[in-house]
Amino acid sequence: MTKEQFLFQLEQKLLDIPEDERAEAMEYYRDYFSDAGTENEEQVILELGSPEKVAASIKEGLRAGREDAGTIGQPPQTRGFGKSFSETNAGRKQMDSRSKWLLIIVVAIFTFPFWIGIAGALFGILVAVVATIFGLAVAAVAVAGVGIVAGFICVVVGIVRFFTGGLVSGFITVGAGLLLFALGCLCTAALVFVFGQVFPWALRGISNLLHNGIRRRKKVEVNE
Amino acid sequence: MVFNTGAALLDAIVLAVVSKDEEGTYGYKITQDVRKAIDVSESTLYPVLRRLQKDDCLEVYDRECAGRNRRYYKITAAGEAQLNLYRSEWMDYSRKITALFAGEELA
Repeated sequence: MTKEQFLFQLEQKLLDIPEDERAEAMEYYRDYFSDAGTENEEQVILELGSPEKVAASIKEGLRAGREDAGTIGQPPQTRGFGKSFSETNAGRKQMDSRSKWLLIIVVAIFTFPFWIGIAGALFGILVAVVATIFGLAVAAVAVAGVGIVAGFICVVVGIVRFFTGGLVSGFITVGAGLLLFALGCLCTAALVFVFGQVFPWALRGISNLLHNGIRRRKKVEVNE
Repeated sequence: MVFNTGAALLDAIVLAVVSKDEEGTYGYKITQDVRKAIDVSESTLYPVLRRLQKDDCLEVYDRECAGRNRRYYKITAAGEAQLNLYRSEWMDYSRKITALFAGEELA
């Protein structure tokens, strides 16, 4: 086999890889033959083995390269001499984690126009929820207060009516007063339940959630 | 050669060979220099050079030589850093193995 035949067959075997990769590899082996000199041509062909073998090694390299090319903008992956090596290499791990944070910050800055909208919307929703709860609470307090006071007054007025106006108007006024009173009591009970039980429970839940989240993150960092 | 040369060690050897020349060096010469140290087949080195190039450890440029363009490989700053890391790792590794073979007690 001559050098030309070898290179031609190699190119044929590389038709299924990207064109730039093929051009790169062909240039390398063309250079290689030229630099070896015509007197060493046979020797080089003999040592390279076959075009198939060379093509297989190029493709194998491409596969390995693709696996490593998963990350962008990070320092080239270090291949440890042994597994235990990369595991004990704490310094590099620290640098990796630092560059990871740097990357997160840079991404956060560049995606600012995107996430500021989402953050604004979430903040708006939070404010709306808090305002609604506050409004409901104020309304409940008002209903409770007014209901109890007005109910009490109505009952008193109704009892007076029994004697001055008549039985019917007395019953109606006392009944209305008792209803108002009951409504006021209901609201008071609801308020006591919400502020005495639900509110502390919710606060505890939220603080536990935040606390656990931070603790878990810390734990993860230590494990890294 | 009784011992295998892993991917990391091969990377380190190639980086060391390329870094010797300020102006860079070319495929055939790299192969010859690497083969002075370890026994590798001639088709082994192209994928290694290509990968190191993609990892930004090596850069390539063409230089006119005897009426044709020859592709040169040159080490980058990132490649130097990587080589230094490999060097220190190797020193540690070889020191421990040597001590072990000499029958010394490892700390």
